[in-house]
Amino acid sequence: MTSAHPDESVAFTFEGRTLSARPGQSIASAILQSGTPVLTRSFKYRRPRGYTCGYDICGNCPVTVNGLPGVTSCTTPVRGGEVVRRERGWPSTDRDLLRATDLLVRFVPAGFQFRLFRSRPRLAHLAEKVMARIAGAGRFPTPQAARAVRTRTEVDAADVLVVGGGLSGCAAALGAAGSGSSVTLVHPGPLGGRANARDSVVTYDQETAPAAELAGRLASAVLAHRDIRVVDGRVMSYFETGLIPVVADGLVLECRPKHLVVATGSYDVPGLFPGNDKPGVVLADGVSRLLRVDRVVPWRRAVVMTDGDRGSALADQLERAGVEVVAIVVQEGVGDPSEPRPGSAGRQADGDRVLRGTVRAARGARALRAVDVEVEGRVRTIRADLLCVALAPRPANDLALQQQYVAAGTPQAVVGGWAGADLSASTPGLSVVGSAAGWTSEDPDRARAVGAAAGSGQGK
Amino acid sequence: MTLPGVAAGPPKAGYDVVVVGAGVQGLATAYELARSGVTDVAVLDRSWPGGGASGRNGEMIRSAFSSREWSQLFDLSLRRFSELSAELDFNILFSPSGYLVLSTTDDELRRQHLVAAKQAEYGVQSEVLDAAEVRRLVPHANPELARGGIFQRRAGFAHHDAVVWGYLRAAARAGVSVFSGVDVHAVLASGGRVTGVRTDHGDIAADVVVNAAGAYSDDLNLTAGVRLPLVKARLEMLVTEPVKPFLRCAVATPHLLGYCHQTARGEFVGGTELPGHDETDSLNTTYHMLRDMATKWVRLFPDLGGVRILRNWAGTVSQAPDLAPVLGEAPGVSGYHLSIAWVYGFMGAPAAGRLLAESIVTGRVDAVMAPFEARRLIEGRSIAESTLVLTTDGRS
Repeated sequence: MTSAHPDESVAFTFEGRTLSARPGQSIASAILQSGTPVLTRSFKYRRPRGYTCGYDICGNCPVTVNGLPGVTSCTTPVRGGEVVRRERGWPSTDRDLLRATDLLVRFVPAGFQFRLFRSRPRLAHLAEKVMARIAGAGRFPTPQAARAVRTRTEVDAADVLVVGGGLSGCAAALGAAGSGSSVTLVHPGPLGGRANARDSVVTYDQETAPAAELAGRLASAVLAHRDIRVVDGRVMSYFETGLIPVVADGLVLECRPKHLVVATGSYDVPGLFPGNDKPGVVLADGVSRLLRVDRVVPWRRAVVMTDGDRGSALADQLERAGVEVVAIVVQEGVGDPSEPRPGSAGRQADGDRVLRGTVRAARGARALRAVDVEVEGRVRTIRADLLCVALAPRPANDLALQQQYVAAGTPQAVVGGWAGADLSASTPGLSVVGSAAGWTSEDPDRARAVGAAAGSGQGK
Repeated sequence: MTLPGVAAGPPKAGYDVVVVGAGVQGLATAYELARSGVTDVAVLDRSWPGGGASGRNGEMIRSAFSSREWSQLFDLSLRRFSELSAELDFNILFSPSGYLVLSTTDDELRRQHLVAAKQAEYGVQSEVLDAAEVRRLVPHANPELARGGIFQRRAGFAHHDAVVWGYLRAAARAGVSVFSGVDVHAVLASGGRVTGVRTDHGDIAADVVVNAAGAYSDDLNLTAGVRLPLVKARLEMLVTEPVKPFLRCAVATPHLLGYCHQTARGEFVGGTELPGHDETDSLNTTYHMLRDMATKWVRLFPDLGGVRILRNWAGTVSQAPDLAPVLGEAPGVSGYHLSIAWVYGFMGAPAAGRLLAESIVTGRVDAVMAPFEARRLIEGRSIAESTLVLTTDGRS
């Protein structure tokens, strides 16, 4: 629930400070806005971690909220009055003395715990106790926090379950409901998903509109439809007999749909270079979400890294928000060089800030200060506080894959065997739509048609 | 990709000893054989080392049981666990943080006094704790379910993968060849003597074959004509996201049919069971077990309800009617040795590996191992052990 007056700001406490936020703005965005880039530390080497993906995928932003540990701060909205604290680091998450483990990595390589004190059982036990104190993340929940997340169980009887409420998911739900089926649509947060933060133009039902505007229209249609139940939650897993439990606020919904439509979108892919986990290195959809949904601009100078046409769109969004885009690095050696991706040469308007090269490193102690870019064999260091990683995304088809593994009866069967396969073509009762199915551009009309076929019992 | 310790290339045409199964039993036995000078040993596994129940168990360790047989076997194991890091040159993260068998009723607590007296008689040190002492030890436990318990201070838990890796590397260093991706289809015997195994890589001759095939050990027995009353059972566990230490010791609760501990990483790891056993041969997890585990663990630790589940998994074992392992030479087939029917297998492996290897090398069966021979099942005798967190289904 957001406040009745959407323009009024709400306040919460962050490690003793009072921060304000617009209602609905994410906790992470409010912390970033206050000038704090480090949200947590990595498990063993205590590397600083910050806002990265924007969609509860990467695990770099858990905080403790009102005594409840492990709350994803990039997607959890501020409601007002929360007490928020970070979880790792001693004496604080900002300045962690245990960061020394990363600097001394030569002496504590991966698996060092299995080499410690092998012949000194007493010391080994002591070391293990010390490790236990350092490890962990948040503290054990308070009784109040644990009570607040109690759930009741309910059985959902809808014919069609649509998982994911982006453009494709909403269109599929409308299609299925339009052909007479009862539909449950599960989506975490506001309907529209990543489309809410995009500027691309999409055609649906013979009309062309910006993605965010169309997302708003589809969301209203879905919410108004009497045969569509919208659940703000996430799917737990796909179990034998087709059981798909959904976890929502205070509720576990046991779904056993006749037809499952997977519309879970895509994942942003991280870049591979030293320092790619540094606060300030942010994946493209995370950048868009901060700018367009949370309406926070915590950066001044940006480098955009891309392997295709997403770079220009992100540069535009950043510039419109007042961020100076100092370079767009078009990665070489990604994909098939004989078939350049559309736009990969850079637009005329991008001029000489387009660098054909490779990001070699992200520099900075606690947060990004500069990016090393190699162009024609020479490394240039470019000052920036944002490195936006805009690479071709990967389909988020986990749920569909899980369905295949469960059907096979063993997680050891056919490892990787379904990668790239069209799962909906071969499996009755399962459809995959949108970028989860690897569709390369938004096609809500096609998603609606798939949903309609699923709803009429004709979907394969 | 080859794991450290796993041999590259196909197995030879023959070995002195072939061990079927590169789980903790097979690897411990192979390591102990090599230690006693028998190094022409092949360990064959159709999957990866530790891929079965050895990497799916609750990794808890104790020797305070109600029967002499269990207490003595597992006490040898517990002693081995405390020296294993030094011996294998690999820190297995053995944590002697204590092991509590929780009593949830006052009646149960009264019986624990008798059990503790017996344990003292077997030479196993344990203490009976009252409700207040248990609350101090496990402050986050629901006081309604924590009436008291038996606490074994030097027991605890270890990192189960580290134990597998430690044995694997040490065995490989000593000359044992461990093969991954070799499926054993049958045990070959002739004239009441084992002659080798049939695999998807051809026949391999051996004077001694050790069955350490976990859930599949009964299938293997049948190929050698060895019939024992074993059934498959499927178990599930869950692990939560890591939190700061809130539970130091291992806890078993017969009342909830559950066992749990918190790892050095901070994860809470626990498994529960339902009455009866699930013979489904599937490694898929089920929603009803996930619910059972979540419900029971939140009953025992009410505030755990605020910690997110990270993942859950299933594992399979084969078990005997009395839930005790079967150790020693198989009846009717000389040279064919069994280390099977393990339900507390991770806990028992260091002792079983040593005793079985000793009996293979010397031909003498140690008094601690003798009660666990297969003969008991054929003669219809069972080992009565009352502190197991498992249902015997009225079958024993």
